[in-house]
Amino acid sequence: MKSLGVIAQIVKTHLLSRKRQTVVASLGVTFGIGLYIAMAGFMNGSNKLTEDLMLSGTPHIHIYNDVRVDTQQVAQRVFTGKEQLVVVHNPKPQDKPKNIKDGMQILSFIKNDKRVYGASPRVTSQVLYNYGVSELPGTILGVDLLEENKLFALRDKITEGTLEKVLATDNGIMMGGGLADKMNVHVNDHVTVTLTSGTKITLTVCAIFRLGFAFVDNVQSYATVNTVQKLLHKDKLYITDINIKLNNLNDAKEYSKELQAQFGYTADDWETTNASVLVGIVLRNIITYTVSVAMLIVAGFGIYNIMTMMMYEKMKDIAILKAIGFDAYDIRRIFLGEALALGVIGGCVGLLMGLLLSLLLYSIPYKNEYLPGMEHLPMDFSMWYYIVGIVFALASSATAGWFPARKAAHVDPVIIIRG
Amino acid sequence: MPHVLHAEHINKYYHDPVTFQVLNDISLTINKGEFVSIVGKSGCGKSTLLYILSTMDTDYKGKLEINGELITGQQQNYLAHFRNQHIGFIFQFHFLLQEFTVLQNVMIPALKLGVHTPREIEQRAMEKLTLMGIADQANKPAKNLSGGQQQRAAIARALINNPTIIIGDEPTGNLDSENSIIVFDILHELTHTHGQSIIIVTHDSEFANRTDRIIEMHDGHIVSSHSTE
Ligand SMILES: Nc1ncnc2c1ncn2[C@@H]1O[C@H](COP(=O)(O)OP(=O)(O)OP(=O)(O)O)[C@@H](O)[C@H]1O
Ligand SMILES: [Mg+2]
Repeated sequence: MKSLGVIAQIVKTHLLSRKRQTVVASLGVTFGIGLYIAMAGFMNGSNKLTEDLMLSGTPHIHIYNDVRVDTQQVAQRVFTGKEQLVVVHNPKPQDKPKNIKDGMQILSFIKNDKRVYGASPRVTSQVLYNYGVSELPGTILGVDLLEENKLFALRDKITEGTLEKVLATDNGIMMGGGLADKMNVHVNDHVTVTLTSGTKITLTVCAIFRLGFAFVDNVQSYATVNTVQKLLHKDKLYITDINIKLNNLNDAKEYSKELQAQFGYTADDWETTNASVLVGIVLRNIITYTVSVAMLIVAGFGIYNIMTMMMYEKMKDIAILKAIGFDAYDIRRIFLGEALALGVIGGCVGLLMGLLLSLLLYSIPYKNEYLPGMEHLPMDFSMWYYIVGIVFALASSATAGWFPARKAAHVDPVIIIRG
Repeated sequence: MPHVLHAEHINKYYHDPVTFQVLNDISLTINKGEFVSIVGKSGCGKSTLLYILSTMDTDYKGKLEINGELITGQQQNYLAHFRNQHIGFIFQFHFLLQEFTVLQNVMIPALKLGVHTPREIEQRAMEKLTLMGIADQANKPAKNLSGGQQQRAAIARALINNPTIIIGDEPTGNLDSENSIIVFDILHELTHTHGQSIIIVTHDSEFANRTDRIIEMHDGHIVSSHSTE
């Protein structure tokens, strides 16, 4: 590799003597990389936001009593002979209780597990909200409000009233913002609900919350476990769901299986519950990468063009270098070196441009009533995009330089020198 | 006297636009320290022969040996290295790398060979340029030099690696008679003191008469080869 020094010198001279071309070619890479970084950061920033929003609203594990059709029917259990074909048409679920038996015991058992950050009981009642002439179907969740606050930061979602007021008020509820808007109710207003049993009961709106999901905010209210148990005429141990948050999100799959095996109730982890949201995130990632790769390929073509032009322009140089003792490998190294140099220069400026664009996007104010914490556009400043960016800049410029370099290496000096 | 170059039955054809034979059964031997000139009418095949002797053109029939090594049939990359070390070529039309300085042009073959440090190479390159009388042009880009100056720079470049054979295609074609004589003296000196061999194509009969031997070509044949006095 004795000749590397002189090759570097030739690369430098060629690039410096064609400053305008050099700048144009590397600008292609700069834009490719810069836009990739800004776009990937922005896309992933929004993905993270969605994910956080989703995770803030969903438990890591949800335990409930799934009412299912038994796979084995009684008739099949009784007639077990080999020659008999037993078919039960259109089986229906038994009218089993929907609650989790010994729910409170299971709850305290779960709370003692080291992996668990918190666990909250839940009991749900279907209701019809009456307010004046309007009657809206919805649900009331009875929860341990303080534990629920620990798990889902309920307090942050409250736009009117307080959590304490709900706790302190007999038959107090905290109503979803969409529902409250529709019914035009505010804190301290009374609403009447009709239970599935037909009884009507009056509740007091003590707070209004907005999670940011219409399917929650438009139908749901929170109350204490006791309030809902009373609505349902159930005892103080009656609960239907347990929501768990773990210290480590990644334990969810395994722990949910454990719980399911141990207690016999269905335990879904957050990935199962939010499969559709996760699909959306994956799709957005695919879009980001497709567009980025397309941009970088365009940049690669820019380099390819300039390198091809350079090769034809430098025919004489190639012939002279070959005549004075440079072999085909040396010539290839010179042209590949030039392409790589364009990639490195363009790539590095691209990293800077990416950072600046990201900062610019990040500084654009953006507020949303559902996202109280958000002040500006989301942005992910991960190192990773910068690494991928520079690697791709090098890879695409090397690929783009390869063919012109190979062609240059095969130039026959005699033909050129003879003129 | 030991020979450094030996060509046997070299035949070459061009196929464009019709097949015709440019070189017809050329055999020649160049001895160590010999200064040979090749003369002949324009288009008789002198340049074509030089490209073969300088190992750049490999498309011919026959056998070529340089420095006791068989050149015919060798790989291009091997030949490139061989040229770098053993052959200094001065082209018919002074071919310098236009964007590089004169000094860089002279240094590049030596940097490629990599035997000496860049400092030593620079010093030697300056010596060669001084020899050619263009030391003051060393740091100018080659494209800013006159034809004659470029030709002298090209000669300096051919000498930088102390090649076994120096091959020149009308190296003094662009020089006035004064400079032409200077170049002749330098080349002559090299054959005598360093034992390097030189093959020069020239149209200048005065120049040819001062070399050790004149090879005369006609229509692809060698018609005579005789020593001068
Ligand atoms: N690539 C080629 N294809 C076909 N014919 C060629 C090619 N190159 C050269 N020739 C022909 O071969 C013959 C020899 O050319 P060459 O360049 O060797 O002549 P020369 O003796 O060096 O002439 P000059 O003194 O003018 O330089 C000429 O007739 C020329 O036209
Ligand atoms: Mg010629």
